[in-house]
Amino acid sequence: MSELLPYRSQRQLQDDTAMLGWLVFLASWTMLFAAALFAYGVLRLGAPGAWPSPGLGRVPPGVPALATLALIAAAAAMQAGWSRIGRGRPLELSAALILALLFGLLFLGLEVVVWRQLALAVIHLRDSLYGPLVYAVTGLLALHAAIGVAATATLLVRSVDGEYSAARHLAVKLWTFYWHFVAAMGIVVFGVLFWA
Amino acid sequence: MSLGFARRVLFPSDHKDVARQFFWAGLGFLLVAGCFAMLIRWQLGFPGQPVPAVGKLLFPAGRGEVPPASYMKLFTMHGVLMIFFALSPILNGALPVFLIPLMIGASNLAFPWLTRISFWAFALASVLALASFFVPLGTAASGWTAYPPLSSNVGMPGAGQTLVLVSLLFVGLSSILGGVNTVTTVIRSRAPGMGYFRLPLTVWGFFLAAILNVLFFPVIGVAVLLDILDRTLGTQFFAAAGGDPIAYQHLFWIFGHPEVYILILPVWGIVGDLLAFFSRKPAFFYRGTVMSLIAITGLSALVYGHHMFVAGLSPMLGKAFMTFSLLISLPSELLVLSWLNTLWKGSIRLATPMLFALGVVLVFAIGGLTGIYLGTMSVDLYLHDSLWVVGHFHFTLSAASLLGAFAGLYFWFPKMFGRCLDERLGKLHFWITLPGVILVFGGLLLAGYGGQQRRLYNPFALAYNQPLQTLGMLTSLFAYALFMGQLVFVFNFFWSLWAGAPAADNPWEVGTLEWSTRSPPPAGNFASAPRVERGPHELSDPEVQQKLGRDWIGQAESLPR
Amino acid sequence: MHFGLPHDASLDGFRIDRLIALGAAVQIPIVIILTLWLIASSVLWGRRHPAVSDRGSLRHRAPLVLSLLVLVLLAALDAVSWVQSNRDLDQHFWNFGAAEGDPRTVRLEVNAHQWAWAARYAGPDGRFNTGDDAVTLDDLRVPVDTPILIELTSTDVIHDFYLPNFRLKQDVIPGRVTRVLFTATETGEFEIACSQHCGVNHYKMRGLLRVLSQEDYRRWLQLASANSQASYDPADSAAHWGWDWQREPAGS
Repeated sequence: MSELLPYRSQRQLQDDTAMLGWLVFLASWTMLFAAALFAYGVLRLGAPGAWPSPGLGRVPPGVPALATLALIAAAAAMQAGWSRIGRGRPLELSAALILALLFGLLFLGLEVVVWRQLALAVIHLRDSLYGPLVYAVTGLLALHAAIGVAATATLLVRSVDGEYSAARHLAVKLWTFYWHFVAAMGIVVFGVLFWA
Repeated sequence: MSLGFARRVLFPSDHKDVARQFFWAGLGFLLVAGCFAMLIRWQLGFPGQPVPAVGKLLFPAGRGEVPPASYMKLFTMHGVLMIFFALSPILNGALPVFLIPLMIGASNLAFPWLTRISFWAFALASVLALASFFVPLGTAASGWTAYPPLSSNVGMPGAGQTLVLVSLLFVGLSSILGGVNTVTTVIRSRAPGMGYFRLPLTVWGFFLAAILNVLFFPVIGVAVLLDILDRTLGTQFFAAAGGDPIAYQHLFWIFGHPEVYILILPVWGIVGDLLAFFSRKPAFFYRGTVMSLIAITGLSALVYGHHMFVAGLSPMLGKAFMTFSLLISLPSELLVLSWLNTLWKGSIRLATPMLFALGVVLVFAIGGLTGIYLGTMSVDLYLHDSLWVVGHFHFTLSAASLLGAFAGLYFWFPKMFGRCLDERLGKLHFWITLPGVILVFGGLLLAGYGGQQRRLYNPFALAYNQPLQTLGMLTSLFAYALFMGQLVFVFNFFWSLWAGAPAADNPWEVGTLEWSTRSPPPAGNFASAPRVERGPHELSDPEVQQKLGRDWIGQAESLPR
Repeated sequence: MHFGLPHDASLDGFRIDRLIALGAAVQIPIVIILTLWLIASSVLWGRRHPAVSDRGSLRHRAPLVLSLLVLVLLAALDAVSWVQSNRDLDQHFWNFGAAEGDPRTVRLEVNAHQWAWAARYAGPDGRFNTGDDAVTLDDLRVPVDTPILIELTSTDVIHDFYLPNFRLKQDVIPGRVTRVLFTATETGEFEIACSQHCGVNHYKMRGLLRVLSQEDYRRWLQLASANSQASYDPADSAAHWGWDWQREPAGS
């Protein structure tokens, strides 16, 4: 096999195109989160008085921090799965996908806990801005995590069916980058909403 | 047979078919939004008078005059439909979807299925927007800008405003998906030899507009979504008490200003190419033009605050926006100057596409210059929200984009439909349209200079506007003449579709790749992938003249030794 | 047919007018030159003229020089406009600090709502939202040759306080206080228009600014405050829409 010129097969070229399109789409979606956080920032900076409204508590950062870690773990699991299948280890891919799925579900569960905390603090949609904003931004994040979970479940079924190999695993690569995107958004959302 | 037709219409795999769908939709909405403009001009030219012929039909409550509530809906939906449902489908939908694969030597866009989804999202948006007219309390009426709290359910009750907002979400989805497709296609699917600096300027226009689409539609998505939540769930994001209405304006204009560049970048690209083609010489300073386009694209979001100079921004923030706004005028001026230099000592053919391209140069220069006042914060204290603003954006958006779209349509009609448009009717159309837009939008500028504001049902209820009433009437009369003049184009268009002369492969004798294949191109566009050897404006080269006996050579054509 | 700016009754309006004139002096000749260039090119270098191919290079000197000249001219216009505009805003239109410190300044509060302008004067006690406030509807009265400082808010949607004869406008935003500053140089009646779409009667949201001689103004204010004091009803909370004057309203 000649090592002089890197050979890109027709399939690899198509895969690279798909990857570029996917990344452009994720760039667009990053702007969606950026805009949501910008809105949060403007509304918070303009809010008269303390933040949140006096009398209403803030959500303690503990559970959201755990949720963010769950996202990071899911992304890490996907990354591991992608590199394993790249070396032709479908069984390890399936295992990694199961881990990613579990961490994703853990994230969603922890988000529900956060929302319950908000509700228990008697923060409703009509009160102040803090509650609705936290619901809206975390809701957006959770929606995207849920899409990731659904996709990972589909990948898992296909992986168990033996569909992926070292040469053919575009979907795993794409969704790994998706999870990286969700985890990155999760970190920023956590930082802006629950830390700052 | 009919099943095949249904498949072609509902699930077209050929990008050219999807392009035509965008095109018909855009033309249809252009007509509807144009009619709205005529009703607006009626009320401004003849305030309180019953609308002739259709007045009692449209506005049965009174004597047939436009009522104030309807007037608000008219100016709102004129803007919404023109921007998102007429200009965008043509300049960011039909033309790039049709032309990009052809111009870069590809057989289709990168993701053919995505092209379809992009159109379906647009179709759904269209249905929602049209539906808004038929709900109780009617369609949206808070201006295309939809500022809260007026656009909240307190200021604008009813489903109509909500439907329009939701429809904008789908327009956004369509534009983002289309943008992903375009960006990926231009980066990945160029034929061998088609380096970035051999791309036609038209492709650069489409490419940069697509980047802006991808990055900035999500921002208005958030603005609209939060407004919808306020309207439906009772949240207070932009409410008068407890929320911040100005937050909406920030989000809206961070999208809104790049949006105007999304609409004009394709036109800039098309004009750059057409001036070269019809001067029979390469575009002046191609690289400089591309750098200017990129610079404007990069700066486009940084200027957004000039829409908010009187909205209570801190003076320091205002100054920053003024600085960027005045700065961005410089590469735009460079573009116009490059165009003028392309003409220098050329061999100018005044075919209809060229006439329209020259028209774009004039109206865009006028429109752009009128913007300098608006970017100057102190002058904006007087001109904000006046008809000067309306005149400014109608010159740059309506006149320039429309003339540019016509230039593109006249130029690529043979390629899209396989027939030729009538040249004489085309020239007639031009000589009605150019003076028309200058007189109508010039009238707006003059009225705005005199202090008349926009979105006023009856401006002459204010005494200081009364001297401008004759001007308003004249502007309306010119607008009717302009509108009627478009019938020449409509007639020419449909007549030529059916009975126009069959088009040759390359009637304009230029070298870009779309002209090296049939008119219209077959599925797959090219018999074999072209190998590009030169740039898009290789015209009047002495060596080509000597060896081939003509003043043009195709981008993928080999020169014999 | 009338083509000009509205009559200028303000101290500082001329600053805007002169920037407009400067812009026109530069831009109108450029547009004329551009139009002539387009026509001349088409006529001089028509179909029969063989194109001089410069391969898109910068070989031709004449058009290049002319273009650079135009660009420099426009950049100069931009620069002058930028500097002058900043100066005009900082030192005149938006020089609220100076107005606050000026003992002559007359202060008003304006509440814009669908679809009228309510104005409030502090009255002899010098405090807003008290019993001796003079309150008017669509009727602002101010003394001539005196700095007028107005704080504005809205109770429903965004409006815009526009004085065509004073060349200024300012958005009026619910939930926050914005400010307007001007000095009238002649007495008379001038229109106040709303310049931000605010609903179905936006076009009728018209007020009157009456500029009185200083003596007339004092007399009117005395009368109006006395009337208000006499008819003061502490239970009418809707009428007490005023607020404590803010020296530094929260900005953006």
